[in-house]
Amino acid sequence: MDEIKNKFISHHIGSLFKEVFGSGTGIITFIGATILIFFLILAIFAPQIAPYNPTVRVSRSLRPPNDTFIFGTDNLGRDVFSRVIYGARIALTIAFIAVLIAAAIGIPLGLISGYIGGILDRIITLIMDAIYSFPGLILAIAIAAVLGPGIFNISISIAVVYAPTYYRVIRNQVASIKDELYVEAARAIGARNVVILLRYILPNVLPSIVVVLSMNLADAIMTEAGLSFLGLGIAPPTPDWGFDLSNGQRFVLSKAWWGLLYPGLAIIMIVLGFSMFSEGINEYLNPTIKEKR
Amino acid sequence: MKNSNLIEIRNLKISYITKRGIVSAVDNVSFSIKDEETLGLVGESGCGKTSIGNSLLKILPKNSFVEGEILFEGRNLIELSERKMQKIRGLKISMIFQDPMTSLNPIMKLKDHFVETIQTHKPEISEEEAEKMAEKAFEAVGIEPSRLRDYPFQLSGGMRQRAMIALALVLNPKFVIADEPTTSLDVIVQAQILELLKKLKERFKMSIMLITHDLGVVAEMADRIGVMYAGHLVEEGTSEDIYYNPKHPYTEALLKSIPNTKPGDKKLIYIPGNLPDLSNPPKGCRFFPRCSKVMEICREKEPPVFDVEGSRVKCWLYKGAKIVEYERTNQG
Amino acid sequence: MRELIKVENLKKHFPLKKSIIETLMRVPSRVVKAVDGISFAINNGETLGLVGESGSGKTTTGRLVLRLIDPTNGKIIFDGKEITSLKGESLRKMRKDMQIIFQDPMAALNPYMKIGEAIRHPLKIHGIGSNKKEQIEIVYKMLEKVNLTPPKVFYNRFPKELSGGQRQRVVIARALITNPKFVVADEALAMLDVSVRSQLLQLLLDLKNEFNLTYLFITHDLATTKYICDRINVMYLGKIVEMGSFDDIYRSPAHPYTKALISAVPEPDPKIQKSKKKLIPKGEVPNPINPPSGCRFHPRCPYAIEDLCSKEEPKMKEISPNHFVACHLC
Repeated sequence: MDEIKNKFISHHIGSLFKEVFGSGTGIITFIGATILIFFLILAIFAPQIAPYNPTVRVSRSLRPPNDTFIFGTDNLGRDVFSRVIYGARIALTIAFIAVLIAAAIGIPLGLISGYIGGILDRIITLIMDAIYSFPGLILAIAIAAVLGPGIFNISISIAVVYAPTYYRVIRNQVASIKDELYVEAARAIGARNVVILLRYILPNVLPSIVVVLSMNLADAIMTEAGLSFLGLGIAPPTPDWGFDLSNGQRFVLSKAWWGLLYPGLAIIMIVLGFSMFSEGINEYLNPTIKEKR
Repeated sequence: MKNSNLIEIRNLKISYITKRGIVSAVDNVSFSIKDEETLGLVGESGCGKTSIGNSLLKILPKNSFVEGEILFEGRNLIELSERKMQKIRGLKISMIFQDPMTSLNPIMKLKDHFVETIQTHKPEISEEEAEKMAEKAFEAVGIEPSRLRDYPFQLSGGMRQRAMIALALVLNPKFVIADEPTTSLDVIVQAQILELLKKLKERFKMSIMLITHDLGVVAEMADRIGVMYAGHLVEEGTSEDIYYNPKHPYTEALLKSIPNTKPGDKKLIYIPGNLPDLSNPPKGCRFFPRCSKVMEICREKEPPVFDVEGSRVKCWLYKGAKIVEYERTNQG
Repeated sequence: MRELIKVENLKKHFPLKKSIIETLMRVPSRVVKAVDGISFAINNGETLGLVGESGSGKTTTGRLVLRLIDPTNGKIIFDGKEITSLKGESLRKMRKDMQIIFQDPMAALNPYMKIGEAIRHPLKIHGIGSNKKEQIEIVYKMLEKVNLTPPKVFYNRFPKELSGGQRQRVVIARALITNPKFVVADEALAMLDVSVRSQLLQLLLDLKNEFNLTYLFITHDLATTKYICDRINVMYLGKIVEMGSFDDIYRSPAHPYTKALISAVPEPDPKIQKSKKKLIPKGEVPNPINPPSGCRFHPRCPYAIEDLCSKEEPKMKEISPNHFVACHLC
């Protein structure tokens, strides 16, 4: 058998090897996961990791990066490095809560709509499509302006924007699965509709949600940063990347590039992390789903 | 030329590299097909018969690995480049697939399928001439030539299969591989298609390799039958020898286990046990765990192929008979 | 009750969706006449075979008798009670007594449910067994009956870990766990390997004898009916054309379609197969949206009588004891 393997490799080196053993995809997932774990640690252990209190003036304003303040200070003399670390908390907290609320709205509605069909399905789909077609950030702005600042309110504004995504994915999956033979089998043994939905249909549609979830989290962080950038997000002095971006950008003309760069980098990195992770998970899950047939 | 070998397969080994490990799908299979002969290759799922068919046209998936010799027109097809192989596919060796719906391009009219196939191999033929050839092909298989203007989905299942046969035969190949050509069809349509294949075989003087799990289908069409089990060719002989005088225990058991229509015979016989895991095949004979006549040697050593009364049998029960050897040629 | 199942003039017409233009122009709805007026009965403990090709309506008939779909017309009587328009709770409760074994064992099992749980589910639904432990014991016993041993190991397996034959045993176990009176086997062997078919056919026979089951055995493989069916109905394009025992159907088929079907089935015996006279009708089964007038088979029938077979639908006649045919020529 070893002989075959060696001959084989010498015949089809490179791309085929990667394709079969999946290391191409594996690397992306691995990098994505590493970035995410990194930020999670930052968020959870912020008090231990950050050198200074991020809401308090600790030095002169707008000092460039040096030995004591690695990322420099902002216009109020606060340590940018500590603010970036603590900012991870807000970003991740709001993103997770928003996505959770969005899923809590979208998934049950999608299940019911996809299974029952008919007029109910048409109406709900129409409403969801309307929300979906609205530019996300603008809708979030409108809702946030009405609800006001605060972690929960911002999470709701973002959740409304993303609920249709969950609704659509689940509803379409349910609509196609409900004609599968094992669903008919469940009906044939006398199961009630609710039981069919929860035990036979839901487990088979959830894998598709995992990918959406991860990509959503990336999006949610961007939207939250956007809201804060526009001043509709978390109220100061809570450290927030979007707010710091907006703040930092004001002083770029005074050549204070560090106030803008580091929060910006943090946003880019975490969004990349979620995206790479969801890419990889997608590749991993979809072959499994196909294999079942 | 009747009675000379059209295609010779020697010591064919096909392995697939999968996440589970290396699957030995076809192991040490040798046989030949003569001019104007029909060989039926029968076996159950996982026996390797489709892999063999695909290897003859070199359309195995990328994670496959082939060793051995497939001798056709003096060349070893295994060592042929893709470019040279393309000159053979469709022109000299052709394939009829099981499911015409997935093997015909749904957005191409049937006439375009023909034109494309014909002009790929014979670019000197104009589109009008190619269409005329397509019309003749449709007539030969019993479809109205006007239907060339249709798309595959507009034809019924049986007619799609006829269209695929026409496409496979339009360039008059010497050798046609039919991989489960009637499995997805109704019984009466199946009978129609088999009649058609018989007629075409006579008319175009082709050799056919008929891959199927249905022993009734090969009884109709095949001159010789090869029985495959778990990647091994366990028995090969004329269709009458195989049916009336099966020599390998698997062949015998298989024939007995098929539900038959003989009156009064209500005994149901089956083969106990399961197929072996081909990523870890048994050491000796691959059938030994389920064989009613198993001996010690069967567990230890893979049996060679013996020549027994005109059939070739891969079984230790015939130890003492002449062993069939296939030499590696140095051609190709 | 002598007759467990009785079906009278059963019809199922599936409506085709109309385009907007067709709706506006009030074009009458087109229907697929999958089952177009069939009547038969199955006695307690009997196995009735339903044989036909695709488009014959045999699968739809199976679903209709179990009320998995609603009939367009006709009557269905189960165990003396009419169930034609049963719905809701009473329909659900009745599922305990009538079950189905599907054709595709992989598709019929929930990929995310352990097979033990899948088999236990009907017990839960119908309240059989006083607690979970007792139900699991019942499942273990059933797993042993269908030869999935050791039962404790198989209980926790998922469908994708099993072979095709094993999956079908799970489907059978699930269908029989509530001890139903009536079981529909819808091409239950078609997707299995040839050598596994006999094994599962034997299992179906053993279970029938042990539990005194009544089967409706739907298949396109005539040979399997010999081993298990007491009587056979042959269907063509939504109608029953012939009814009789295996010997009647196979040795003295009366209807031209039955004759064609029998001669088309390939025999593994090369001498018999090559010398067999094959009565292959021309063309294919017509579209059930517009079935031919009169006798459905007349356009393809080599013996069709002009003006009679194309105009009048033949009635079912008894031509010998318990052998019925719907044909003008008999």
